[in-house]
Amino acid sequence: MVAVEVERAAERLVALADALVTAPPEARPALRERLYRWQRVLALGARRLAHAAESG
Amino acid sequence: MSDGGARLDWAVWQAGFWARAGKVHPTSVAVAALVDATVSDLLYWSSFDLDPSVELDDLVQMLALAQLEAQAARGAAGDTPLRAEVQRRLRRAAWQVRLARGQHHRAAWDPNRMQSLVGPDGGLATAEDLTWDDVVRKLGWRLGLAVWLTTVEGWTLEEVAEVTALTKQQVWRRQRQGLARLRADLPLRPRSPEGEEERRG
Repeated sequence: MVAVEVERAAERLVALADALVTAPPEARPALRERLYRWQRVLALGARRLAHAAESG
Repeated sequence: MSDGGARLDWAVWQAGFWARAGKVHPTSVAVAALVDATVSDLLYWSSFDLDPSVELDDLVQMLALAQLEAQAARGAAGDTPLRAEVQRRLRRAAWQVRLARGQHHRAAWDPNRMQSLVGPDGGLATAEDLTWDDVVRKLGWRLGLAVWLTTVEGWTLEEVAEVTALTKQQVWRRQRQGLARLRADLPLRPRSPEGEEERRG
């Protein structure tokens, strides 16, 4: 479950990063916000996986 | 000074009072004596929140200076009342004192320290790591993520819905469920003598 969502977050992150490169300047702040949110989910998921690996 | 002593000179009285209390230097009393009686009470009204000693000494000087400047400005421009003109200048000067004092008391902002706390990669800080571990251990990934993103990160339901591929309603339910489980697990103090936690315990 966690791994699936982490993978999805990583994919979205890559897609958004690509979009950010070619986006017009006025669209970039909103894209950066979304990028940050996906990055956050990725960080939380990665931490969860690492913690589970340490515990288990 | 004005009115030949018929009116109480508030500036002299106030400065003398502060001098006897050791809050201003004795020479400030002499400076206060130069202030016009129509503006002398401004010394008292402008003194709130200022520290004894240096700041009050400064205030006496600022009042005298504001009067001189206002008189000069009146001579050049015309009919502005002296008191209003002095008050405006004194208020601005006193505000500068308060501003400087505030900056002195505030802790210096060190972005490098914050950078070391959050880590260079934009990931979780150490404190966040530990708290997140606790939350996700208690609630599991799905509920923990909903609670964390809404209550810790402050995201809207819509923002959480985007990253979790859920509807806002589903996110809201998970958040409520997660918070309820946390409340049940944590040893919270009762809100009142008849609080729920106490009854449950």
